[in-house]
Amino acid sequence: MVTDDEGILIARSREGDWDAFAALIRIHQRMIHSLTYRMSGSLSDSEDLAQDTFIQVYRNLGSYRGSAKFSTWLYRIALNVCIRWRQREKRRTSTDRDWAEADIHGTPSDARSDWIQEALVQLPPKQRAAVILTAFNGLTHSEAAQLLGCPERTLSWRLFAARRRLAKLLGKSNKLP
Amino acid sequence: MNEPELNRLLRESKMPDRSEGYWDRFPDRVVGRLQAAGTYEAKSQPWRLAALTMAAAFGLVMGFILWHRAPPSAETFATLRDGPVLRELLRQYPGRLHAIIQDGNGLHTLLSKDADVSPSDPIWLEIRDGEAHRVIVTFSGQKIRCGGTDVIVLSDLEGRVILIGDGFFWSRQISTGSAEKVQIRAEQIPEVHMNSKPPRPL
Repeated sequence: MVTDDEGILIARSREGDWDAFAALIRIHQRMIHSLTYRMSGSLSDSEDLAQDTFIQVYRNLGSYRGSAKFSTWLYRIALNVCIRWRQREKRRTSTDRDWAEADIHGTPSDARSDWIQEALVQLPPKQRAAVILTAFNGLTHSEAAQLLGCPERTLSWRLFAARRRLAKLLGKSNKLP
Repeated sequence: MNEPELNRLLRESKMPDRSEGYWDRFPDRVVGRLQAAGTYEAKSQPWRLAALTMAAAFGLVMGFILWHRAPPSAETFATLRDGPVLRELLRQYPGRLHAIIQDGNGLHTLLSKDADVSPSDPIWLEIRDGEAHRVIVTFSGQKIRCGGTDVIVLSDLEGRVILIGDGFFWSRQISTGSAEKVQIRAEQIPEVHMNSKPPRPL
């Protein structure tokens, strides 16, 4: 389930070839950053989470069997890193402040996107992951459930709850920027 | 706000841009962190003491079952490879087990302080180095002592095991450097094979 080039890079990375692992990161870094940003709502946290994800990936390369797409396996690790981070991260106010601050690394998206992201980070992590996978990544309920390691029924419930909350949050402010 | 309106809003939401320089530097930052952390290292001294204490305590308990002063017998190889000990240790110390070592002095475990050991299929190693005869069950990416040097145990996508160290390389096909002086047998133990018949000792 990996491309030839990717397979070679994985094999070389396992042998300790740092250049090969850096090349693997280059292939997937934007996808992972996108996920970690959606999950954290903060550019600086999303960078830390993306780094943590790739570190976990490197340390677990030995357990990748190739039965799933490499990107799917990687995505699952990133989701777990983000969910565990949210569970540890009790200081929501700090995150809110972070995301509201201008980030030194990047330029802000636009007011409307930030407004949506603000609502998104107020969801519980597992609900947020369900929305990100289905609404932003276009996965079916079944695919998203598989990735999150939960029954499809559970995922549908999380989505239902998430959408209801999002609609409330976005509708309440009634200020489409 | 109705469902289609919400869907449209979510789809229109954009990601903030990052500079090309950021994307160029990001892989190096990750690799730098990995190198600084010494990925395969068993890390700091304080936990070594804790691990040794725990290993000693565990050794006392396991000693009733597995303690052998004599060189390890075929039964001890089987006990390690067949999985009950391994499964029990993995259950007791999830993510913390670096290795189980059976040698002439009995059974030892190497535990990490934190649950930072990568989950991967266990690897069974039999090493005969002069008079010393050891059986080690460890995991891909872990470091062991072999042929007088530190070597990293790795398994590839096909489950082939290799041992790499400074001036040391061993695979089933090739041995170079100090690996030439050591007799090694290695194989991955997939979970499904944990109850299979063990190989005969070297």
